[in-house]
Amino acid sequence: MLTNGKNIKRLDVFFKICVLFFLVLLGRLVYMQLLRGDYYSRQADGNRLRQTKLVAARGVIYDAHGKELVNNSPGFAVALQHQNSYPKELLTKLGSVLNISDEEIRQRISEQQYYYEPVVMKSNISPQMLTRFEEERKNLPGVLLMVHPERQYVYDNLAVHTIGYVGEVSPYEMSRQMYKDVTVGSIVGKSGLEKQYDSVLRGVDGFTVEEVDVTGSVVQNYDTVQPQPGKNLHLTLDYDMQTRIEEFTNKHLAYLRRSKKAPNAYAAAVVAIDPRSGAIKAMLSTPGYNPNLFVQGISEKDWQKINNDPYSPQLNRAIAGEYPPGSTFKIVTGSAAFELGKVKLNEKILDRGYHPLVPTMRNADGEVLGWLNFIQGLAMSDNVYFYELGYRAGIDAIAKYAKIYGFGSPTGIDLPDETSGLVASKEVKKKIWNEGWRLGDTFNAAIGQGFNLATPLQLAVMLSSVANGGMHLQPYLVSKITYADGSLYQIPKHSEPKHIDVSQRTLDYMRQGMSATTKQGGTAAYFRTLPKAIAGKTGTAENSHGRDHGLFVAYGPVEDPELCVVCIVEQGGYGSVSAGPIVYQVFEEYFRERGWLPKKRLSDKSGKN
Amino acid sequence: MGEKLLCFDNPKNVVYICLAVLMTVGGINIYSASFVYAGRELGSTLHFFGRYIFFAAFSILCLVIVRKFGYKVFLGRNFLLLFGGFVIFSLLFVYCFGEQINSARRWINFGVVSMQPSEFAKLFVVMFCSRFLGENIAKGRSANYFYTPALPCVVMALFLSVLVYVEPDAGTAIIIAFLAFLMLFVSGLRWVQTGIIVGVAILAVVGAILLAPYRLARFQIWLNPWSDPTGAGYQTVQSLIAIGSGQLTGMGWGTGASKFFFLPELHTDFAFAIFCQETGFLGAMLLIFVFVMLGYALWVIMRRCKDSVGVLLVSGVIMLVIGQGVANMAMVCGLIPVSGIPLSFISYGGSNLLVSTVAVGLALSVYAEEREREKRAAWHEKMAAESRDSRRMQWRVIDGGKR
Repeated sequence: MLTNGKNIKRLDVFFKICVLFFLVLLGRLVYMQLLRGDYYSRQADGNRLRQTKLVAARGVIYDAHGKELVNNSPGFAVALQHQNSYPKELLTKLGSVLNISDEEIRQRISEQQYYYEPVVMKSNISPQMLTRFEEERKNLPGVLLMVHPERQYVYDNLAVHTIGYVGEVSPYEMSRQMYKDVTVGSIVGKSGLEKQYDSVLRGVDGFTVEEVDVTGSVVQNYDTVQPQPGKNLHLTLDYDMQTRIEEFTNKHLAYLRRSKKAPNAYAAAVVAIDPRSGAIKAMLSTPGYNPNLFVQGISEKDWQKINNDPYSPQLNRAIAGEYPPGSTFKIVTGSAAFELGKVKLNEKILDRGYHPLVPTMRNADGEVLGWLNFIQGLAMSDNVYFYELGYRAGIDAIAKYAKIYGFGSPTGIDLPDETSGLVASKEVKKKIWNEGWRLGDTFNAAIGQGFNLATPLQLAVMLSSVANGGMHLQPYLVSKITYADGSLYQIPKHSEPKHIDVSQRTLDYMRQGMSATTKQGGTAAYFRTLPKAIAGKTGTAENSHGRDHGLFVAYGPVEDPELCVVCIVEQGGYGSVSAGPIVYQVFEEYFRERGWLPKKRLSDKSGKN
Repeated sequence: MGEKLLCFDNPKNVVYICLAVLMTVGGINIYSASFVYAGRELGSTLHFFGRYIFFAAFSILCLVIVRKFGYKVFLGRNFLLLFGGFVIFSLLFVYCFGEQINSARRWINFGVVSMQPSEFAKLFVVMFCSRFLGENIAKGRSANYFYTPALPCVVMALFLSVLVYVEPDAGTAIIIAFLAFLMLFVSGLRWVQTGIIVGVAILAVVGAILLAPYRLARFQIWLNPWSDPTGAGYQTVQSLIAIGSGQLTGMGWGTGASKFFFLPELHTDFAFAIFCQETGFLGAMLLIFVFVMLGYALWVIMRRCKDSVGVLLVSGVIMLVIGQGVANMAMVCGLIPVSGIPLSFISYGGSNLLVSTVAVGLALSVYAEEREREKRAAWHEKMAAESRDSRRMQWRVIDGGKR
């Protein structure tokens, strides 16, 4: 029997050992919790470890020649130490110093209850607020001032739509998980390249673990993980060209308004692209705004100003402004007609001032130009000639070639929120108005009005294809991404340039027609004063809300195209008057840079450094 | 005719009450310890709490089943073969295909839940040893020699230990070997042989340290965790801070500061630390008291049992549930080196909860059968008293207790 004799002694030994263990444990707990409880309590509470985030600097953005367009400067953020409970007076006081509501403070705390890190109350505080905070600091126990890199847009408004701006991640963005690895108070890109390349630019935040005493001063530094700064973007954007374009555009818009030629010409977009590679050399959308306003949290007044502006400064017109392409679309109509063999180069078509099939549709200003061949038709931008071409080719062919040239789908540029425009077709009309197609619609489509919508960037891509001999390019802004130390991280990949399905002969006719536009008798004859020949096309987009939009697209030099420029002036009237002069000045400046024109006005070239 | 245990009629009630208290405290504590982590990493603050409730319900169901069939069924040849095969197979499976967490393969993942076979190995060793040692003791052969029946126990324990050790899970492997050793010891292993085993174990420990010097560093860290408070000693230091800062009455439920990233393995092995921080010395005393009461009730069951197999089984259950519990608390308090020992019912872990509950269920069934036997014996005694002249009846009563 186990329960008898010797064996029971063994069980008793076992029992006694168990009791002994429990007694030792008891003693240990008495020692730790009762005798040394104060010591451990201080370790856990007053004398505790504090983890602080070290914000990584965002990458610098350079222009094509290595000029810093966006960099960082030291900024300050106010944060609240994580505590088990927060005294009400403290929060009220903090709110009054930082000018934020109690509610917002509580919300920020609750959003971060699962993180043992200081809760950022306000990042990038202004110098005035910093002074006020320093004065009140004694009365704000547990509130920290953290130094961190602050975004700085060196040239304020310059290329703001392209570069974008940064701001604190919003609760909505966090709940939708629009950014990876962010916590409350993280600074993220909100638009433009800052948004598109946010994950590259942002870098990895570090942290430091310190032991701090009750007063909040550091007793000992335990562990520090240094932040990894974000990677740098090198853009294809040319600072000089961009500033010149902004200068010309603003001057010309002011002139148009002053001279009453176009009293409402406040908005414009310009895209300059290299037709050999698809690199964007300049991209302007005006009006703009100052991105630095957003860095320190935009004030209500500034926000209202931007938000209520009837010319929507936040819209990047170059990629998201959709306009009827107007006469610039005649290149598509011409291509369709030639590709289908419906017209010959020297075939003359009679312009009576109207087309016999739809007599109500006339030339602009009621002109009658008589017998015209294709080159003349395009150079003079004769509507009746292209009604006939559109009639011969048919709407299906026009839509097909519009798509071949890249209309109706985004160009794939590395910017967020690009729109795709619209290509007029029977299906589109059916879908939008639920009406059948009429011949008048074909006529409208043939000259780029009606249902056709295109962004300036799409026009630029189309123009590049004509200029470079039929290569469809994906436009891009970032040429390379480097590490903070300057070594190469990545060269962004673009889709391979592919040949569009338009014959060289047809493209040559288009080039001839566009070259004639800028010669004597063309719609933009004033371009002939430039030292190298430019090929261009004017356009006037119908606008039901006011004056027509003026368009001008051009590439040059004709023999070996190096630059394509697309310009649209909203409510600018005729393209040759509103947009043309801006493009002219861009080429003039470009030729001056290339040494084909003498450099003058050196005194005027001071600019900003 | 139950035995009075404090104010309770019999140990069975005490066991049930202790079980209920432990599961309640365990569930609440797991919620408090894990909601920060679960809310941040897993999206739901109730992740671990919900699972604990599920496992607890399932465990109680198993306990009822074990009570109904009785321990003799589960210590029978058929079930032991089945259970042993399952344990060995799942250990091999986990070694080959197991889910890797923190560089060790210890879990089999079934999608929603995962299983830790090494927990079942502990229970199997206890059951195996009680059956072999107990039966032979009942036959009058004492375990005073090293051959049969002790040898199969030693071999089985070593085999399972090695299987667990290669996972690698050295802590559990040591526990399995230690359980078998204690079973041998209480069943009367000769002192000389006990000494031999202890000697071999010490040699093995020394050898292991010589082979891999990092183990020595672990011992040094145990002796003085403050020598490297952010590295190897981090867990121990944070655990000590958590316990000590609880002081007399604790910080209050749900408010313990250490759950915010300071203390890893919070809801599993170090659940006791957060419990001490939030409920203080008084709470810790209550928890220890409940464990002691559970242990004492099991002890009473064991002392009352007349069946050697039952006695050994209950003693094994005490080692498994109470012994591991003490070891875990000692580990969390820094009395023994950190090794993955769970605190039964308090630490999160489905396999451990199931094994602990079933083990208690086995002990309860030992008590139930003992009561049954006592009733029968009492009936025989009554019969014998009624017909005191009948020598036949008297003879049967004398033999009643034996089988």
